[in-house]
Amino acid sequence: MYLLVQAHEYHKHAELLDQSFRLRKRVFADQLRWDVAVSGPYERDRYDDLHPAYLIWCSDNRQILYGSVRLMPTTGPTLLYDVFRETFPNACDLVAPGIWEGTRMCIDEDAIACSFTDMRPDRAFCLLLLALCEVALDNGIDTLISNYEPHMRRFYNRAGAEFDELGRADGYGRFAVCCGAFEVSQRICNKMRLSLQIAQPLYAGRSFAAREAEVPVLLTA
Amino acid sequence: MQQPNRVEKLVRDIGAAPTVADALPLFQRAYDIDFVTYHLALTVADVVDTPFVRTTYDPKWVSRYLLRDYVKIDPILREGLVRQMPFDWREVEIPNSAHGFLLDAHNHGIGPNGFSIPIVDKARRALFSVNSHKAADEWGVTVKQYRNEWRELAVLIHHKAIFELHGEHDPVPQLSSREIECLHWTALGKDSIDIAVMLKLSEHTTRAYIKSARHKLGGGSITFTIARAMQLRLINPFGNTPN
Repeated sequence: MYLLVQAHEYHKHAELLDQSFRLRKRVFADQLRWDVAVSGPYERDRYDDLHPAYLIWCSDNRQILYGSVRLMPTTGPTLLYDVFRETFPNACDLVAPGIWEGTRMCIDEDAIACSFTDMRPDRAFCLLLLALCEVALDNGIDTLISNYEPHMRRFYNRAGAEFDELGRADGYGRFAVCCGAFEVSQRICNKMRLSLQIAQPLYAGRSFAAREAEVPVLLTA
Repeated sequence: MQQPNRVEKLVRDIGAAPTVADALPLFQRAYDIDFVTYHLALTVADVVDTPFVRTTYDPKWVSRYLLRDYVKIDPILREGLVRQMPFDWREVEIPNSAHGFLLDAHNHGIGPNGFSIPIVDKARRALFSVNSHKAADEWGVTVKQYRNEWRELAVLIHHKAIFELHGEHDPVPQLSSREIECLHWTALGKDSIDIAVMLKLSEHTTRAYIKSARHKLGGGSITFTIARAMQLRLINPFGNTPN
């Protein structure tokens, strides 16, 4: 299942978030050798302290993490802008309410191989990408800015995503890191479902809190 | 063509409103909303914690809210200042401790439904909230139809609040060369399809650059954005902008 976890619910999903920071360390520090902040078994940086939203892909009983991605509005502080300002200042300079940044997108290939015996890692990654598109669309996001290594373009294209590469930086990891702007729209979502042969939405959408009948459903702010 | 004109006109009217307090009723009327509130949480530590709040709620309710310190109980505000995505009030879980507050709100004419939009900028957080007496189903339809417009307008009102608080000393915004190119060609009458071809970008990304430039120049209409960019000498469309 796919969960959108925001700051007011971190405590409910503490175990999954813990797994996510561990996975990020394994993927971005150990495998890709990106220049990221590692503390012990975790990869965590200062943007994780700014209440980002996390899209979490996990087992239905919420015990096993399969993948995650971090979402932040470009109107606030963003990793891509801050980190890449010096290497390619124009690339990640898109700032508007409907434009969000998706970073640290990764999957746990071992956990996926265990739970889905015939699913290849590239398909798993594409599924997470589709879920990301669905979540973004559900929250009024029209563009996602993301960073990725050049070989990922093939997967994005195969998944039916459409994006413009805005720039690339060398020296951040073993390979270049690119920055792209991904369109988020119903058209793209449909196209991705078709490419991936997915009939039903992956993300269940937002849910309303249960209210006791006698409690007035009234609030103010 | 009627839809974009309606939104453009509203952006213009709200942009032209002298203060946040003048802007909120315009928003309220345009969308047949019962109450609108803008709450800027000041993160700067001061001797007295003074958030900037403007609302169309009845002054009686506002003073009661303050006197009873409901700001510490109000579950929408508490969550709204840590959430990132816009949310329907029905998504919020109500702790038992807030039941008395809800009842009190109801007795003071607050509607049963609402929608809140967190606004995050480089240094501050704000919450823009609308409240309605519409029934749940009808409210769901309204939210779905207008939430993206509301988000744009909420940010416009946020800019207005910052302006109101800090005066006219906004530094000239930094536009990227892509944003400047897009504004330059827009000023010369090109649409995003033409510009996309010239810049070898998708039309979607071209629109994203224009949106981004609009946002950085205050979130007003495209006409306002072009005028402002020319005034700040960021573009000079009848000279030769890109340098």
